[in-house]
Amino acid sequence: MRLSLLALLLFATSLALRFSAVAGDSTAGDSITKDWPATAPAPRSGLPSKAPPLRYRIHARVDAPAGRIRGDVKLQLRNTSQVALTELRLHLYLNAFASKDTRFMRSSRGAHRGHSAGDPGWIKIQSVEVGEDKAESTKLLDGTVASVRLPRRLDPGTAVEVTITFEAQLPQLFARTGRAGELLMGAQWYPKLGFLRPDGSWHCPEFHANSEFFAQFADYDVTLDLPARTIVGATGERVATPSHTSDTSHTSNAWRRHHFRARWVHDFAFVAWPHFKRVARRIEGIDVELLTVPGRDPERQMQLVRYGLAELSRLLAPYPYPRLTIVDLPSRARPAAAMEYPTLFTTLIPMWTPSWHHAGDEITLHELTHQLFQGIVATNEVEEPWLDEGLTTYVSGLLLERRFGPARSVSSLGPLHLGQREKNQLHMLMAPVAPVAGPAASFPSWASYGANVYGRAASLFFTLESLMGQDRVLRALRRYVAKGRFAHPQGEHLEAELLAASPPEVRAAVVALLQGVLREGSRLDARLSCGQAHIEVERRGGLHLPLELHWRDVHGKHYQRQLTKSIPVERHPTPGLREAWLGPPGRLSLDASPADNRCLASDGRWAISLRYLPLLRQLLALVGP
Amino acid sequence: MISRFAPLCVAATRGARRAPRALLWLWAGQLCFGAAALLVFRAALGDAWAHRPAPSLLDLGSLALRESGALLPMSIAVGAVVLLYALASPLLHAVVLQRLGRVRLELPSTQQVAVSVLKVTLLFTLARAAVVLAWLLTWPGVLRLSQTIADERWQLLLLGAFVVAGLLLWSLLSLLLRHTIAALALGLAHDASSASRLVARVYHDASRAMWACWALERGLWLGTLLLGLALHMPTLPLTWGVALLLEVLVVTRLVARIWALVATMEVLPAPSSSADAL
Ligand SMILES: [Zn+2]
Repeated sequence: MRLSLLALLLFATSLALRFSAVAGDSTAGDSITKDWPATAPAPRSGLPSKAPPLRYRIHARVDAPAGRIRGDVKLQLRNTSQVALTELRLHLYLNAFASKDTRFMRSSRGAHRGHSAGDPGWIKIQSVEVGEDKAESTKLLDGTVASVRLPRRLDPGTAVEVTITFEAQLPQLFARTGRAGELLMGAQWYPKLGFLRPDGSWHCPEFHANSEFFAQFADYDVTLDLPARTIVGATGERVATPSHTSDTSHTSNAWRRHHFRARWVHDFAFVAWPHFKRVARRIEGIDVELLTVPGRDPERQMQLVRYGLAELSRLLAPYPYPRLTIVDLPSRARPAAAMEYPTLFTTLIPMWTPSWHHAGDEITLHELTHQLFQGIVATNEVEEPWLDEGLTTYVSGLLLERRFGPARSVSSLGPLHLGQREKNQLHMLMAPVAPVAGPAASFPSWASYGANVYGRAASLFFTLESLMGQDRVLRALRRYVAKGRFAHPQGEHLEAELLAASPPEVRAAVVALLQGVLREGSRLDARLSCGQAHIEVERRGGLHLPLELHWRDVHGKHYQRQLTKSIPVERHPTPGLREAWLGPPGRLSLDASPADNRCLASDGRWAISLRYLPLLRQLLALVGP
Repeated sequence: MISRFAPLCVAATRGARRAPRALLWLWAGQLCFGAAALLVFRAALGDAWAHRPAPSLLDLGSLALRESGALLPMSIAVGAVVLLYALASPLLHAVVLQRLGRVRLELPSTQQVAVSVLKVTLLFTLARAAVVLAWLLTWPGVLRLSQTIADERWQLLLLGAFVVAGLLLWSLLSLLLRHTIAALALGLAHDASSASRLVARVYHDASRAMWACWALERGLWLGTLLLGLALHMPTLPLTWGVALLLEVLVVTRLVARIWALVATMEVLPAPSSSADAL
């Protein structure tokens, strides 16, 4: 297994090298290569050999199913910035659910992904010690951020241990975290250090409804005491089999200790439910554990994960951790489903989901792809969410297309079929155009965030494919992942790789496309109308891409013309016209009105309409006697 | 058993002799109505019809999103067509059945029948609207209830039962409406209340033929759907072949329907007057 992985690795590397040689020839100069952030030296397949500058040791007693957590966090941190530190910033995410007045609740209007908030949640810091000294913590802003004043300056390169005791209450399951009946989803449940920038400032904003998370890499060592009956899954590897606690305040039968360790991760999540069915497999040298609902078919999930791990490794980079936990949640836990955490993700494929419907398959492959972009490349999901969600949507879309067919990778119910590209285009059209590269909070609503950061960003990559070719886009991504893993890269790094991989003849179009979509929020809207003997091409919106005009005459002969000029309206005489369409495939993935990129000469329309008559009659018969 | 079916078969054969012409009328009438509806839909859907041999989900979805301002007039147009069909189709049935019922005595005039049928249809249309509304209003509650059940098998069973119950109720209302119309059109009843009493008797006396045909008709509909699902209906473009297949299905269902109506009505003793019939 290891050997075959290595062979695959060598093959992929040689492929990448060959590609980069080609790119080297066509690269105009050094102006488009960016300085990459300093990355910990790591082999392509494994974890960095040195330890990260941050280490969490957490012990918590989790009162399930009440959702009350009491614990302490021992934080060992080294000042990796260039200036002395006088304070630490912590995220207290659970306080977002403490009242209706928090930034999260105001920006979400009390609902997240269609689920309303229930009982509140909160987290309180009870004491802070820095080394041997007591320290003060102050809640800031809406309570989702805290500041800890350091008793002594922490000079660059030096380390300190901070001990924080805390008490938390998980909310009724809402926005990824909380309790639903006997199930507990422990996400963003402990005081979590903000992101220390090289200039010594903290990136630790209030929790916003659109935004996900951003943190430094750390080693985690976590012990959780939970009621004995509960089945637990968590980030990292289980250190030993669960043992009875020596806790005297509870009978040893009732509580059980679970110990997990994770290296080079930026978050720790756990899930607990007494009814989980545990299925374990070894896939691609990785211990894969599936926690699923009794009665569901574990093979559907396992086969998807097997396929996804192999394909991601082949296309971009292998999964570097020894263990992966998949949580197939019961449907009542839907507000926590479809979320990625390092080495663990939640998904949901309800029992008896028909094999032709891939919404659940998509969740699993999407969250699995996040392991790469959110897990190990770990871009800033608050400031540049498109990097993670856009890339993940694009790459998981490719995975789904390859597995289920391009036109049927969302659903394939007869004529009602839908592919990933179409789905992204529809998603994109659900809200007005906004600059895709904006921070999460810049989008006026959840719908706008979803439409632009997921749908429009993924459609951008499909458009890039039509300009550069899919292999070049993937080569750029491979290099971005190789350089960016464990390094928190930024948008400019991805753009530089895309430009470096694009051939000179399309580079100007790629630059204009990236600029227009990412920063200017430009629209692309081409329209075609067929007359009896002419075609009219109309271009609205600020984004003009080179297009192809295709048409067929009444004898079935096919013609093609390049449209490279940015003229608002062009008229082409086409005697004997039957139908016309715009191309090449994928070039209009960002088009605001996909229905009018094709047209039929008017006399052909009636015959087509008539075919719909029996279908219409079948449908009308439903309301008849 | 045989003795109970024999009169039905005799009646059905007698009815079937006149049925082909009636069938042709019914089919042609529905076709005309369908064509009119097509014109309205074409106008309402605009671009989607004009631009592609077969509009894809993306086309329809994007049009719906882009033309969201036009959605209201479009829904009104579609709603009007559906309502008009719901009212006109029973009338069409009544006219055709009246032609079958010439053997009856003292047949009420077509105009009288039309008025009675329209009244009954309105009543049933309201009842069906109420069923749909009640179903839609109850659905979120049922969904929430299902999610409190830990076992997904029971969850699915509850939701499935709720869906099937809704469809069944809808389908039964169609059946009841159809037989009430038949009773009125064949001259076995003169108004809605006498028709309802007669239909109650039909259900009692001739339930086998009626249920058999109902099952056959619904089976054809469901069978096509399930077959399509089983075959994944690979791409299935709306070619002339597929269109023809759908049309054959329409005709088969009409045959089953006429047979059931004639057979169930024929077994009732011919009334010397409508009052005797009841
Ligand atoms: Zn995602």
